[in-house]
This record gives sequence, C-alpha cells and structure tokens, in this order.
Amino acid sequence: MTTRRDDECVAALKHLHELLDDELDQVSADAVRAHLAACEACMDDADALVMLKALMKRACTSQPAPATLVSRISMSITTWRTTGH
Amino acid sequence: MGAAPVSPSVEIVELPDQGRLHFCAAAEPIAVLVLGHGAGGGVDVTDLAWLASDLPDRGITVVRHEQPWRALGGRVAWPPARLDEGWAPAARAVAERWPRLPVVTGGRSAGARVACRGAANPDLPAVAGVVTLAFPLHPPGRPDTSRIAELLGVPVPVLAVVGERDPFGTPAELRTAVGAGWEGRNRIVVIPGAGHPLIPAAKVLPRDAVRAMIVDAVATFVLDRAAARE
Amino acid sequence: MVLTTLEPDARTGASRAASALVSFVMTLPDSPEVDELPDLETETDDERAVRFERDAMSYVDQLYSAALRMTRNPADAEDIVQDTYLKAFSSFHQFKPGTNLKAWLYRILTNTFITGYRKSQRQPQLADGADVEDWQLHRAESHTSTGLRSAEVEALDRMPDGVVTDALASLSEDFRMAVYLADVEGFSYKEIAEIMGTPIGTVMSRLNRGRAQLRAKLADHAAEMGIGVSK
Repeated sequence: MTTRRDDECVAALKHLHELLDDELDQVSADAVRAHLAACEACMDDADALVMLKALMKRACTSQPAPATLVSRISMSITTWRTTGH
Repeated sequence: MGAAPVSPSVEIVELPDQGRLHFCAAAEPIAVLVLGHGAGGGVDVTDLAWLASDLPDRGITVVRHEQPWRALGGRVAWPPARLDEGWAPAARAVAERWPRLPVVTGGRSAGARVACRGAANPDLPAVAGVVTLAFPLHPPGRPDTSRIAELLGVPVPVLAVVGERDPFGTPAELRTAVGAGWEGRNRIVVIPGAGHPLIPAAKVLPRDAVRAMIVDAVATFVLDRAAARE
Repeated sequence: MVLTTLEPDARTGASRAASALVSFVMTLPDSPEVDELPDLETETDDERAVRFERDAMSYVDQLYSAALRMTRNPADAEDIVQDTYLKAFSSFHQFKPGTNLKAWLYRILTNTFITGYRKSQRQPQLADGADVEDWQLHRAESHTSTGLRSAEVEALDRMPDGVVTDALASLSEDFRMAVYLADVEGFSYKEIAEIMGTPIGTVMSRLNRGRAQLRAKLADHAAEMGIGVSK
C-alpha cells in the first residue's frame, strides 16, 4: 500500500468529503474519481470515510417517536394556539 | 472459481459517450436482452457472464452495457441520474440495430434500477419486459428507505431474480414491498442461500445448479415476452 | 356522449375537470385500436379530450394498483391516481401521439408520488437518487467478496454501536452536530449551514475535522482492542 501523498492526492483529498456527500459538480467529481481509479492510498481513504458514514447511520439511526408522544405534541400546539399565546 | 468463460464471439462496440456494448449474438435471434452492470463490478461478473454465454444458444442475443465510468477504468460509480444518461445511447443503439426484434432490458443491482427507470422513460424505445438481478431495494441495514417506486413504475412485466439472503433486499422484503397481486404479471425467482452476488455457497447449491436456475428463469421470461409481443 | 362531462377549456377549473374525470371513468367505452395518428395542429380541445379518454383511461386499473403499492393505503392511492390523470390531461397536448403513452403515465404517477407524498409519509421514505450513492453502499458491503478492504475498514466495520456513539459524543458540539446532520440525517451542506447558522465553508471544515477525529478515535479503540490497525 503506497503511503506517498503527492500534489494530486492533496487535491483529491481536499474534495473527497464533497464527493461522498454528493456536493461536487460533475467536472470536479470526475477529477476525483479519476484519481481514485489510479491511487490506492486515496481509495483507501475514500473507503474509510464511506465506512464511517455507514457506521454513523447504523449506530445512530433513531426509532420513530411513539404515537402518544406525537398526539401530545399536537394537542399542546393546539392549546397554545387557542389560548392566544 | 473465476467468472464463467464467455462465448467466444463477443463483439465490443464503443459508444460515442465512451460507454461500451458487449454483444453476444444468437445465430437466429428471437429476442434481444440488454443488461447493465452494477456499482460494484463490470459486465464480466458471474451472473452477467453466464447469461451472455448461455442465452444465445436459446435464440437470445445478449448485449451487456458497460457504463462510461467503468469503461474508463474507474472504481467509483456515477450517481443514478448520470447512469441514466449513459444508458440512453445503449438502449437506442440496440433498437436501431434490431428494429423488429422484441427487446427486454435489465441489469444487476444499480444496473437493474437503471433498466427500470429506462423502461418508464417515454423518450426511450419501448421494451417488452425488464429483468432485475439483485434489485437493491434498500441500503443494507436501512430497510426503511426503499426504491420500490422504481420497480413499481415499470410499465411492462418484470422478472426479479433475488438472493434469499441479500442484505439489499430479501425476497420477503420485496414481496412485502410490491404487495399481493404483483406476482402474476410479474415474477420473483429466489436463489436459495444467496446474497447480493446471487451465488450461494456450493454446499447449499452447486454452481451448475445456480447457473441453470438463473439462465432458465431469464431465458423463459425473455422468450415469453417475445411470444406475447405486447 | 361523454364529451359533455368536460368543461370546454379543461386547463382551467382544475377541480371541475378532476371530478369530471372521476365520473366518466365509470362510463368508459372499450379502447379501440389507434389507427391513425391525430394531427395536433388541427385537433380541437374536444377531440383531444376524446382521445385522452380513449387512450389514457384504459390504464387506470394498472395505475391504481401501482399507486396502492406505493402509498399502502387506498385513500392516498386514489388521490395520487386522480392527481396523475389531472396532470396527464392538462399536459396531454404535449404528449407525442404514437409514443409510449403507458410509460408517460407511469412516469407522471411516479413523480407525483415522489414529489407529493414522500414527505408526508413517515415510512417508508423513498431513497432519492442523490441521497444514497450506490458505489458507497457497495464498497461498505463488500466484506465477503474480494478481501481487498484495508485493515482500517475491516476494523471499522466490526466496531460495536456503543463505541461509535461514544466516539461521536466525545467530539466537540460543532463537529458532532455537523457529522450527525450530514451522515445520520442526510442533510445537504446548504441545509446544514442554515440549521447551524454558519457559512457553508464552516460546515465543510467542521465535517472534515469531525470525521477525521472520529476516524482517529475509532482507530485508537481498535488498536487498544488489538484489532490490527496500523497507525
């Protein structure tokens, strides 16, 4: 596994998060993808970030609120509105 | 074991957008099957290779579409909207080359989604049916997000080949999502013990048997669609 | 003749047209073959309405079945199909005769569902094309296939949920919030910027640094546990 980080890597890594978050325009995304195709070290970084994102979803996804809570909230809103806050 | 050897007569044609079509022609084709690959591999993954190798003998010309991102050596797939753009010239080229043959489209994983969206796209040539291999119903571990609308939005019959233990969507999850009455016009074929690659452990099902299951299911469906000529 | 149930200019009075559509579903004649293509230049509104009734209404059962699967309840399914037909009718002058009408209708149906109904449903949420990148799912999932994943990725995949949430909780609030909003809730940078009241550049910086810190903390944990991550 190469650990060299040259200018191309620096440029790609700068935009790696944006690629993962689907925030890059097509041209920039293509440039990052092209670098990832050629560079094992950066592809490993990309994989780690991908896994991190997946971990976040896996570990932190919350349960839906119970129906009773939802109706309590809507009742309290109604009350608040009708009592002319 | 590596991928099955593909029939020797593969013709590879480059599209203007740098995607590729891999043609495996039947001697006297009754129908054409166009297949797209997924995000995690190319046109030579096992099930696609099996279909390309075995279907021509049954009168079905198989065209495997390689998306530009892949043909250019990439490892990171394009997002869905761009995949759809890559699919369009492939769909049109096939219709142009065989204007009188029934065309069934399909694909594996993300490629299956592309085929489903393409079948519902009125700007593309009409197709006679859609074959999905390991349709990714939801991301692994997130059964609450669903791409079912893409599958339900297909206006023609669908054959869905599903691995029994696919983390992207099991047959049970698929059946729940499509609801009662979907099977009839459409078909679900389950590969026992298989995950997303559709290949179970050999002790669960020998590879030859898996190959036969997949090839038979797809061939039967395509030939049925060709006969129906809807 | 069912023509009379439609208002002359059906592009206005949308609700009148909607109830008219529903009422003449029951009086549909069988759809004849489409023998000739209409001339859109000379076709009158009435003629187009007849053509719509003849060609498009025959798909109502199939569209309803599809809508029922999407919405999972009959009342919403009926609403969607009604909306679909209304949209279809009002843009029927743009539909190119002889092309795939069925696909055109299904596309309107799917778009109506996605734009109108996804947000009002709690479950299941539709995965938007942009929300979940297939290549990421595939790389995160490919533990059985090729064994080409790095040791770091392997270690991350085996991390227990409690360790992950502890690591997140140990980040500073700004970094933690940015990572949570992006990775758990799936907000865009712009949305996160609005939620947190900061410029987008700040969001990006917090996200980068938050993720880097998480990665480092989890690598430390793996090393402590003896899960072979080289540092």
